[in-house]
Amino acid sequence: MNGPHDLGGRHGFGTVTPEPGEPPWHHDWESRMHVMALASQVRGFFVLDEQRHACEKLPPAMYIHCNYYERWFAAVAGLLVSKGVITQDQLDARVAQFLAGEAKAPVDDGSGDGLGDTLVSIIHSGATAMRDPVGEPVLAVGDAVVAKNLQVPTHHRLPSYVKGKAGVVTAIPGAFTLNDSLAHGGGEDPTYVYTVAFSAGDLWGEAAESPADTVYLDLFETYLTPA
Amino acid sequence: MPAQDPDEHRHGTEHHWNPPEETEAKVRALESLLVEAGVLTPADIDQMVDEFETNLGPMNGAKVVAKAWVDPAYRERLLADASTAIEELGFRGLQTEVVVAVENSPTVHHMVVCTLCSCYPWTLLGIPPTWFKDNAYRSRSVLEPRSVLADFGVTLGPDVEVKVWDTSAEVRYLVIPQRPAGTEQMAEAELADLVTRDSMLGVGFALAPEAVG
Repeated sequence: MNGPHDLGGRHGFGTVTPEPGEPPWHHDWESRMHVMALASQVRGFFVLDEQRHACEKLPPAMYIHCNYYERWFAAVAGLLVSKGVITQDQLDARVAQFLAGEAKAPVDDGSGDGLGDTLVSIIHSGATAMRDPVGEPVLAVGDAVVAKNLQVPTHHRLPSYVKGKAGVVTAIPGAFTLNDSLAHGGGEDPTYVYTVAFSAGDLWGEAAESPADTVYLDLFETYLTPA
Repeated sequence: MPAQDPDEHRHGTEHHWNPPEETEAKVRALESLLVEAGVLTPADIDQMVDEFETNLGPMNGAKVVAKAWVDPAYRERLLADASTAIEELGFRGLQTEVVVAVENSPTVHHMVVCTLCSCYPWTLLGIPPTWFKDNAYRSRSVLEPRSVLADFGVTLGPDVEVKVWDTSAEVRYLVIPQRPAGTEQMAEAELADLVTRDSMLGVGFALAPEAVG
């Protein structure tokens, strides 16, 4: 979708402001939100692609201005409601209680089933999206390609700034589960991904800082046409 | 010419849509509902937060880089198949399953961005810094990488080719920074102390040995 997340090449966002010695999280609730999102995926309530798409669908003004984990909360809570894990009424009522100081953080009663161990195990073992390819790749390293002018309101991983632009395949990382499909409840549809080099001159014309600079993207076969 | 007003958006790392206390209440409410539903326990969350804070971070990527600096055979393996090479050191994991290593040199400078979200090699570098997830870095790194590097105090000559990796699929990138001068006698563990997170994203250089005393 042509959403607010598709930021590559946009103007007006100001300088980058690094924070020396920045901690992983600035607030304890940010870290808890991070783990709740992972836990929800491990429990099978939704997949990462659905979470990404839920972020992209947030109101554009909110997406641009919000705290990063505020975005995660909105996406994850929305998915948990739509999947029936919690209800919006439950959530609204509990939020009101917390805001009024009438609710306390839950105390651990030892009733866990080892999810913490599972999460730690998964973080170190990974959950690869690479799959055995179906058939041979259509494109080869060195092939000239053009990124499709894909204009769909659904989830994909083709940034606007390369649409319609010409590039060259530099590597074939393999076949991966297709984000476009998984984000909408579809199957894994393993699809070849190609690393494609675009020259800064082709992408940005006279605005390029140095036309010979290069931007690389990993693009699904379905996003590319042979040039 | 940078088209940015330097006085705009100098609001540091904190910006919000709703008041932060409201977002905090929402997150606390969500946790309490998920605990009641038996989805997770507070201890599960504590355990995973502790794992992130203790065992996942740029110190892992730094060990990979330092080993590549001192061990030519490892460097070759890392450049040929980084996924397997980082697994040798135990650093393959979630969001770090398929990795490509790219090496900076006096003539080529690599940097990494995720314009669409915040893809990041968690088990090599930990949780991404706020600037990596913010609009300014995500929008500008592909359009004006040299201007972005200037925000980090990095200036490259016109003869240096810039290669920007926009992490648009499930491959994660690790930049191998140049080994600083004057480090020929240093051991691998000492060298790892010179390798910063920023240098492994390509927005900084490895530290000079004097910088770490």
